[in-house]
Amino acid sequence: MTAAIDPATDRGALLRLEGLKVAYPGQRGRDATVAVDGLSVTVPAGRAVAIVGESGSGKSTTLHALLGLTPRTADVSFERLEFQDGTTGGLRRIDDPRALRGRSVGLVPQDPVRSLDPLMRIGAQFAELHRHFLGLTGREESRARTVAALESVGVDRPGLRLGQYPHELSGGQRQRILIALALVGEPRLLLADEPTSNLDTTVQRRVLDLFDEVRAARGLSVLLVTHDIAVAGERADHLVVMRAGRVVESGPTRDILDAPKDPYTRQLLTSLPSRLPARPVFRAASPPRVVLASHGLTKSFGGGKGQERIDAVRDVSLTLHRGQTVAVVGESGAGKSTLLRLLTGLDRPDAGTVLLDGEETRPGRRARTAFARRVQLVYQNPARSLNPSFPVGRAIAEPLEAHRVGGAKSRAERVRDLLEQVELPAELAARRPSQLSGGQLQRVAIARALALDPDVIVLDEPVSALDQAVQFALLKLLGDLQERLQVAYLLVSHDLGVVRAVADEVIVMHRGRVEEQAATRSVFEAPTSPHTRALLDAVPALQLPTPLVHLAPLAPFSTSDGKKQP
Amino acid sequence: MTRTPHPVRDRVVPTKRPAASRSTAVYALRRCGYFAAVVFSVYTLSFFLLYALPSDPVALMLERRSAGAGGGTAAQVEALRAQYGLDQPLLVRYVETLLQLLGGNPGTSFQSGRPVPEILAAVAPNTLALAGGALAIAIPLSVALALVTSWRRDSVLHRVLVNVPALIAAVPAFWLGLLLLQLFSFTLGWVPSAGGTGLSGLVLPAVALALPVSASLTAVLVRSLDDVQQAAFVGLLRARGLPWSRVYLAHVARNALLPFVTLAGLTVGGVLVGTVITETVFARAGLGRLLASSVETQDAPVILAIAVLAAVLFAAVNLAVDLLYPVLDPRTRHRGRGARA
Repeated sequence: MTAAIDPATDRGALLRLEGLKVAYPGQRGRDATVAVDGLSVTVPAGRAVAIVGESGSGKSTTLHALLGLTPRTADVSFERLEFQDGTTGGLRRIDDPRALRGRSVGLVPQDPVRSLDPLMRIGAQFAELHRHFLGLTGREESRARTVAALESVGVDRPGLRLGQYPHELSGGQRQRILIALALVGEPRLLLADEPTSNLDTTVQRRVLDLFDEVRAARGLSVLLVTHDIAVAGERADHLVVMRAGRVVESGPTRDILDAPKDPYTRQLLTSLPSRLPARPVFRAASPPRVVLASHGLTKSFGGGKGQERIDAVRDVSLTLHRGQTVAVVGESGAGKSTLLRLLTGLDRPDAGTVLLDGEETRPGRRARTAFARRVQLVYQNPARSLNPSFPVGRAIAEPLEAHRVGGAKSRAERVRDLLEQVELPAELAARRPSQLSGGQLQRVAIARALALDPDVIVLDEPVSALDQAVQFALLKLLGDLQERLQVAYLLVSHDLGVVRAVADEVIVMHRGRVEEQAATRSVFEAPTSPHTRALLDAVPALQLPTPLVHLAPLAPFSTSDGKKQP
Repeated sequence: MTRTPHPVRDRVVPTKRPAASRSTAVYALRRCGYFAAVVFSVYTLSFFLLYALPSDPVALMLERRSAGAGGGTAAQVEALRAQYGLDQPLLVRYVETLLQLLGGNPGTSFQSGRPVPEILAAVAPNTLALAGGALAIAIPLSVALALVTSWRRDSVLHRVLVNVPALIAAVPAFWLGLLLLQLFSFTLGWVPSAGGTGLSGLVLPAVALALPVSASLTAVLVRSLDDVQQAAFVGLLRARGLPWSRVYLAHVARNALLPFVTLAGLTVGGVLVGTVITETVFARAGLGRLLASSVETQDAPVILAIAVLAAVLFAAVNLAVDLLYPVLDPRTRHRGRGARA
């Protein structure tokens, strides 16, 4: 099961790992769980290898085991671990993977926001590593090196950054700094643990480009761990597809994308959101009635005394027709979330109006309640938007109780009916959120939003926290529900594949303003604004042979969120 | 693969230096306002609890002074009432007492007839030494114990030591005091059992007072250390090959101390309360015992003065913690509301 390497391009292996096993011993009578079972991977010098898999597939555990970072309770063993010797170029046997930390292998983490010590200035974070790796104690020398390092990873105004704290920087800047920090020990291999999954698409592209640049400039190898086969396919020379702790397929990227052998790989490729059929064209000729509209919405926030007010949303008008979907896209900071809060009445606009069924929304508690009945929200992270102590049946019934709809019996009936609508078994009503998988929880959140028969459901990044196959199933469900119930969706998403599949109309926002507003197809095929083009360019593109799309072997694999991942 | 050369650089977050210094001043002023509000509320609450109670301090006064030889005449009672201002309406007395306190004059004791400052000055140093000594033991002890406990989060040592704070907290302070007395004073004879002056007399009561306090401090710090160890940046620092001792002391401990500082400030209140029991058990003269005896005799001016003094101490320590916090945690420095993304 070794990742096959094309011998022609083989410049010698940098890292060879064979037969990695990671198990967590069972506690209180439960069986031991095997997180990784017999994984082998070889990273050739100067190449990028990607490990692809969904959450729970063992891909992150593999990465942690490679650096000896697994918890002490974990049972880690491997048959062979070898790393290229710096002087002879031959492979050297490594007994303790901790020896690789820093100097041989650099780690770039998943979450740039939480990966820097919040109490330390950027300069101090570098100085610490300079002391450790280079024995450098001089302040000026460390400073000069840090500025050079920041410059080389494309951080602007590096001199200023030295005195800043992590919270004063954007996610993209932090990820660049983390890459620079990983390079301080001059490692030969960079491990990248979902390095971009918490970043905007445009920032994601720039960070991935940076990886390629660094790799080329320094002759490094990269081992990329990701759930996104599109990113992996675009950036890696070799793919290792993992599922439930085992490698199901590995080989050169091109071979796997062109002719996936394992049904699971095929499923990953066919369930890409961008593979969903595009929406039928918006029927502009006889549009259904307008349910929600806004005119000239504006909201600004004060940046403290003596500072300019920042326009979070400026002069945004939109109309949402019954049974249709409008998508709002843009980078973070573009004002998407503020717009959403204005449209749902959670914030009051400074100027402009929100119209529901052609009537202006009024302030006051009663009007607010009536509005909430018609417009419901589904948040990004279902695990955090559901009360963990309520059984999900009660969570679904809560809007009914709040609006005093029906009695106990009719509510229970309605909960059963709603669970059926979102294709969940009725017995789930008694379970608590912690017992459900992410996909199931998001279905519960949708059922709760549907409880009051709303006209509009606002979907704030509804699938971005979920695995790809689960995303696909959930988007299909949303489409079916819309067709059946004629509910209108207002979708906020940074995933343009999702947008293309579900939206009739797209609004592209940039710095609070509407950059482009048009039917989905024309936005994707003939974008007029440079910002739209930048967003579209940033989507990882996979060139796949078209017949693959029609295979769609979804059924035998329970794409829907069968059981909870360990 | 086409590569676009950074069309738009990553967003630059504007730095807010000039506004920050002003918002820091506003923050400090607001905290000082809270300080004044706390002290004022304590005075108001204590005053009405003491003077609105349905009992006659003058009658008690006469009864005590004449040691059971019967009350005074009606004229004597009236004279005493007038002397202490007790014939005035409650609200007038409230304002007058407040003004007196602000002027630094907490009045005279009902019982002894001596000025309250004199009474307090006689015993306050004892209590402050006791409370200070207890904190000086409790804080280093809890920090050390927590650091040792949390060193390896999944070790046997952690599993054992993590239960120690709960065990200590479960021990009643007076019982612990008696136990310490039995062992060190009566059996070993190392330190005097009662009264005692100087350091040798202070050690035992300070330890007895410090132990229960350090239990809660340790528990919070262990929890906080364990949480910080879970943070992504800690794993990353280990992955970079930094030695654990460096990661633990320079990063984990520093981050974990933030909630500890807040709790340590609040603990001052617990220590002041604890002096009441400790001073009784060890028969030390002090504010705690004075308070207990004054409550028995309803010596309102003394009780009021002690309550206000304790409030000032407690609020001052917490004011210091609040003002210290932005220095320790850069994230709390800029208080301007940013735009939501």
